[in-house]
Amino acid sequence: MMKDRTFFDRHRLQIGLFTVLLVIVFFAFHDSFLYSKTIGKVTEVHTETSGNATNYNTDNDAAKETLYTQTLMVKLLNGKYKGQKIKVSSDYAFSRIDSEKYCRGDRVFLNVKGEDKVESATISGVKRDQYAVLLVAVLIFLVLCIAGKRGVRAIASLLLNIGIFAYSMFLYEKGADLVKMSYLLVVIFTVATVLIVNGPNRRSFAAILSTLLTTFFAIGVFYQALHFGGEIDYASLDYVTGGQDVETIFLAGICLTSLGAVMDVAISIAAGLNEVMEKKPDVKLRQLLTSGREIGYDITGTMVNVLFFTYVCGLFPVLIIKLKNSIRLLTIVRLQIPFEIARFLIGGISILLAIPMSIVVTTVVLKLRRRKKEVQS
Amino acid sequence: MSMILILAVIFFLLMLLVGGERGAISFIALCGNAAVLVLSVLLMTAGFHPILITAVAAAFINAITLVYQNGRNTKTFAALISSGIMIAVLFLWVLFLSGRMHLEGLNEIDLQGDFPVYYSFNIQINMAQVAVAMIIIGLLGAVMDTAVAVSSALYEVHRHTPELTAKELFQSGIVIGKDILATTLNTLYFAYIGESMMLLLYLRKYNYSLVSMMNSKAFLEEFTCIMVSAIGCMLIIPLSAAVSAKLFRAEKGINLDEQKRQVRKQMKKISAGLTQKYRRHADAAITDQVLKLSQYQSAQTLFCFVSLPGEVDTSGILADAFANGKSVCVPKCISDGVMKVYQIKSQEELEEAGAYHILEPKGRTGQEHPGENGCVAPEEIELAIIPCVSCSRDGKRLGHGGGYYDRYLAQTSAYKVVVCREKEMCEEIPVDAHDVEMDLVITENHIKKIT
Repeated sequence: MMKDRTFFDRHRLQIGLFTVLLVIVFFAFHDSFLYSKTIGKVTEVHTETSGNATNYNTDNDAAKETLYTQTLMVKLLNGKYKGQKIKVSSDYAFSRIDSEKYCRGDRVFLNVKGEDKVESATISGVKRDQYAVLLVAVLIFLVLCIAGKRGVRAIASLLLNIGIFAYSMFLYEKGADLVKMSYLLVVIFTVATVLIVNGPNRRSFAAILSTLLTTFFAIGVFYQALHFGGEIDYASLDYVTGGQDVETIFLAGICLTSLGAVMDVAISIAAGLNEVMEKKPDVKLRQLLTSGREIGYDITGTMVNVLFFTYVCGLFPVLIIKLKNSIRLLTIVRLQIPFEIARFLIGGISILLAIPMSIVVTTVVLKLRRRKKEVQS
Repeated sequence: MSMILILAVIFFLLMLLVGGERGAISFIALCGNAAVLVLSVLLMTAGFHPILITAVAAAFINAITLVYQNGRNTKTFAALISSGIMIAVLFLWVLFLSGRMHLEGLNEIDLQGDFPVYYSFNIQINMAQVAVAMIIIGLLGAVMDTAVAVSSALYEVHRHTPELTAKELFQSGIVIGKDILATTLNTLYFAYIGESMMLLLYLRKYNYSLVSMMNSKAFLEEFTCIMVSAIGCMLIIPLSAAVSAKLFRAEKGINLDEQKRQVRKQMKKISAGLTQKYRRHADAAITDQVLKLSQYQSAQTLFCFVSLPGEVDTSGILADAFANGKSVCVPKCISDGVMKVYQIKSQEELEEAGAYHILEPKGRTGQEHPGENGCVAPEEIELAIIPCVSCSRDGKRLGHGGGYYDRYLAQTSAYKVVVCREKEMCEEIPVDAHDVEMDLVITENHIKKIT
């Protein structure tokens, strides 16, 4: 009994947080009354094979896969048919590229017909948002449990950044110039993030300055590469059907891609060099540069890796579908995914550039302050 | 294509310029990882089970990134174990999530493009499994990065303060984790924004409502990838702190003894190479320094070791102490690691005894209690002159390894002086928690006070 009480006392905040988040997640899993679309829950599933289909892009006649038909019992969760049950049928192929295989417990959006009683229904999509809420709740719980007050700050900075981004999207729809806006975004994001994470001080000033210089320098590098490398075919870009200004959107994305990583490098180097200067005020310029390089060595490899895996993973499904349709790997790499590669390379270049840039900027900023102090005293 | 080529060359050159040799290693590791990924895509296409392939690929990528890039050492090992456990756990979590969220296949927007026109969708590969592979591959980089950051920072802590227990190490690992957490979240956030800006603009342009966006596969694919990465990064902070703390503490026991043995071996060599002339000169200078010490001159009861051949010769100190009527105490080894000290009146009271053939006080059984037969209690000693195999300038002492002195000195508040010849000094002495620190180091050239 005693033990339980001390455990409860010690972790009161965590338990409170857990309860609140649990309630929110529970709510998200039972929120169908909020929707105007009809939502149903799959309660029974019967699956039968219904034939075969061939991959027409191969020479291999054996390249067949099974097709299935599912008969689902769906219980309606909202609207005027709430509580009623309806039989829905749905097809899927083994590969499930453009079709879903439903399981018991899935929530689906339905198009329904019927007067007082539901007569027929078809599935229009899967309801997934409750899992998004679950993911956010788990992340918030972990961040706050591990980092406490600093976790609150990290989440605050994240929320602020999301807010800024959402607002800028709003402005874009109102007709703002996207490229100019992304430049502005880079500045605002950097200042806001570094100040929140690091507080207002000289180190932050150095970090902000080096992040901005690095990012704009990297954009310059990209323009030069474009200039010398010739025009590129934006048609192979994902979501190209989306609009005419694909090029600007791509450039805007490139500006922001590595901003977080560059800030990370800039903050680490500014903090590290500041530490050295504090411990050893008479440190030689040369030693300072060496320390900066040392810190830089430590981060490069891993940061580039983070970016690499984050970008590459999204290519998997598309690559596999194309390869299976008898398109050669080299053709895909050459013609169809150069943007993902370019994005990763620009990100990597920014991270690498950030190291010398931060070392120089931090050294100048910190040394200038010392000189000022010396003059004063 | 040529633009890509230009960028790739710039990237490679920068990696070499900025990172030097380690940059080259990182670059090779990156290429290795890319090769593993291409190979796994090809194997999946050939019909191997995507999830099995992913598990194997993840193991290879861990090995390349952690072991090849960071070298084989305990830090790497700790990061490897924690990221291995983490990925296994996340595998289960992702299997569940991706199944429930229906993230497989192409998203709504891809399906509106030219995909359905040109490509057959009957490719005999279960895309639900490919979706799991995608999310797992996406989180590898961030999870490994965090694991390395925690374990290598914690290793530095352990190196500088080896006395920390596993629990204290774990707590300091959490503190380190707090430092990296904010920047990790930011890195992931911006990587996500940069990647999905186009998608988000597209969704807005085509008037996707918030509800349909939040439920679309297009939005949730990338969102889930990045969220699972972030969750993995958070979870691995305590995990890698715990694994590192356990491993570093376990390694310490074996390694420290081994390190001490190494230093002793090295010192034995150096010691054997010293000339008689140097020894005589150094020992005389050391005796001189000791006799001039104010602590020596004021001490009534002092402890002094009786030198063995090779050790700093203490006969001069003993003679002076007898002549000045001080109460002189010398040690007698009794059992494993335990010694007692006895007062003697002259050097004639010493005889060679015991397993070590050390000169020890005559006629004592070792069973005496303080006060009996000249046995002196540790608390009575004001000044202790202590031998060493080697010592460092910051007062860390390396003995023969029996632990006699460390155990004895822990019971006394005497002013502890270690004597050592300059050429037998060492930059750094490996110490553990029960090694007693000295107050003063005396060599023939220096007197170094330790505060």
